[in-house]
Amino acid sequence: MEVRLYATLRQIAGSRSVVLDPSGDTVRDVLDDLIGMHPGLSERILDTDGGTRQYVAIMVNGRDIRHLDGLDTLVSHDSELDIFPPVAGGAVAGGAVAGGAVAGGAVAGGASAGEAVVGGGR
Amino acid sequence: MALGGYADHVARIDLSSGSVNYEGINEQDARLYIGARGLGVKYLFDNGPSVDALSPDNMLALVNGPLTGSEATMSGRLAFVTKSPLTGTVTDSHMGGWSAARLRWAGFDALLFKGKAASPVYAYIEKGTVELRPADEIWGKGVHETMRFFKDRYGDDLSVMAIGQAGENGVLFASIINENDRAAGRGGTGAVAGSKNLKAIVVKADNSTMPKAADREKWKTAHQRALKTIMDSEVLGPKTGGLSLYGTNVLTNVVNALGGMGTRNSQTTTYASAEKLSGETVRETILVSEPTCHACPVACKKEVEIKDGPYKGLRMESFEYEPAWSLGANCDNDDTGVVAKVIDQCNDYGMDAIEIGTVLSMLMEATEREYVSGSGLAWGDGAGMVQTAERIAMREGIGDTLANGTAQAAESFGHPEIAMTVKGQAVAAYDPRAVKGEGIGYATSNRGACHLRGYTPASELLGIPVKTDPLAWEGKGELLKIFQDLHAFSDSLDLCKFSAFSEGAEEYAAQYEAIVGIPMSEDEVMRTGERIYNLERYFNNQLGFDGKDDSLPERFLKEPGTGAAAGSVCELDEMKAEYYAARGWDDGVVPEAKLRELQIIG
Repeated sequence: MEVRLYATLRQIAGSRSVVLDPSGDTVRDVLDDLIGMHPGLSERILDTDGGTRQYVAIMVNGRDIRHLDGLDTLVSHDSELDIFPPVAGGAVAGGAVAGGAVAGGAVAGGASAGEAVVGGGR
Repeated sequence: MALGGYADHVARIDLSSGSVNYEGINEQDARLYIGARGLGVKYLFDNGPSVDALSPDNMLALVNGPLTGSEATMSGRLAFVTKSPLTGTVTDSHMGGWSAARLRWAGFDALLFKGKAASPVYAYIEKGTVELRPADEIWGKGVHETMRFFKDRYGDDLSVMAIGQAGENGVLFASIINENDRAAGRGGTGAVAGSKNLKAIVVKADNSTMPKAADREKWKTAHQRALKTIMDSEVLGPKTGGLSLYGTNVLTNVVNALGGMGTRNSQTTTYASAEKLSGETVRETILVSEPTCHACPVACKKEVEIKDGPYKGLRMESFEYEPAWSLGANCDNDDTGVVAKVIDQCNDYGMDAIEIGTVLSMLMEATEREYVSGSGLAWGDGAGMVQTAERIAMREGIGDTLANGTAQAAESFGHPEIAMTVKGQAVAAYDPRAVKGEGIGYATSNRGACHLRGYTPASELLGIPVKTDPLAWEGKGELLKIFQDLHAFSDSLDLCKFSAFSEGAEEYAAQYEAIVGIPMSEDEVMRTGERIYNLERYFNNQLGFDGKDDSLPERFLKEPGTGAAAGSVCELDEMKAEYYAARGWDDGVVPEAKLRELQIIG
């Protein structure tokens, strides 16, 4: 399987993509393999709880895993995996916010509905 | 006028008589419409929507906001507001760099041009006065030569906003360009200037007259908070964030991965050669400098130098995402040299670098399908693209037809269905079949197809403030209204739209309050944005624009996307129903009760 990396992740891995033999069939398994080969990627992709960092986009066949099954999303040997670092995002935990007044359930698809965020605070 | 931040000084210039009159800002208008975009639209509305865009009766307004040229981060922008000759709607087109700041430092909130000069003129602005001076020596010259002319004549501390040959020749998507190659790109503002024989606006001023906040303590807090969001941002963080390192072109690989990169005039939505034009490749191979704008630490501009090929030695800025798409995948061209060259031509002739790409891709499809003969253009023919761009600027040969924009040119070829436009203006670099929010966004933008009126990709791609699914249509109508209202406010301050990647209504309100000196809440920010958006819509409604004009080319509705967007079409009707309900409009028309509620009338 080829995992394609973008922007600042390329410098860390030293290449645009990494070819690996996945040890399991979920995105989580592939990430574990990837980070095993390039430990420097860990702090860019994962947060301290072992989930993905906010604003990191991991796509399987062009679909962000946040709209699939997250890290449990199944992959096969011919899946296309793209990992983008936060090419956009607000400040990290504790800092200021990526604001805008989002009121009401403007969240669609498989994600949770009815998240009402009024004001810039998150 | 009691409000802080404003110069309270506006010039009304009658180019027909040559007279210049000065007035203050109407305080009620400033409270309701803020400045830049909002206030500019109000001036245009009061001028009357029914004018002919290229007639002396049209107004070309250059308007600053109350934050322009201050210490506020990203406050270096102004709005050119006019009736567009391309779309027939009201339009506002913003320009970065330092021109807006200098206009404020020279003591002005706005310059309002009407009439038509008997022979070419430029406006010279210094210390609160405007003088019209003859421009015969530079009429017929490109923007770059015009810049050198004024630098030689007036020296340093100078900003120049000028048209090139495209504006002079009435290319309907002609732009206005400044001394840093920053553009007021969309909507044909350059053609309006050209129709008035107005070659340039020249401003001499330095920052010794930079405006200060009404409330210094409040300002310090508001400013520091806003700046911190930017410095800590993973997008904007100088030298660390994606936008800072790669510019807007950081989006090429992202958008292509999700099947949103319109290729060959949007016939497919994935481009095999996207990597060659990406921000990553540009940074590795041709990037030479990263300029910025007034009061901005992000420095997202990407100045490049072409290292080989026919355009070797060309040094230009900026290699942005939109023209990288419009002249790249859209034309099936993967040569960065060609992209750089045509952007540079747009900077010199003064043309919209988004529209030009769609004019060319439409011509390429027309050639492929044998709708034109003779002066056709093959997919990816870089030399042909460069030659055609010149012909358009000069209105020579087929350029004379193409200079009327994608929609009119396609119509004259007998095939309007190959024009990827809305209300006559070209779509942008997010295919509506893959990024559904941009579908409803292009359709309902008050200035014709535009990706910036309501930048839903912030949510759909980047997760700001929440991640929504780009392939889902539900919820996008409501989401779009929120973005449209928020951006209408920030466009009226006039802060760079990229501030929205880290700032929100709260930060905008705090900075407004500190500089202007009157209370502003987050709710009021959104309300004001809603008012501005509805005023624009009301302007257009007066001209007969309604729900039928909030449309998309059939291709996006009927022909499925490819790659990650395989099988997907844009569910426009469903999103329109949701959007109109959120807006409280009747089939795209603002009802009288809403106009009263928003204090637009009565």
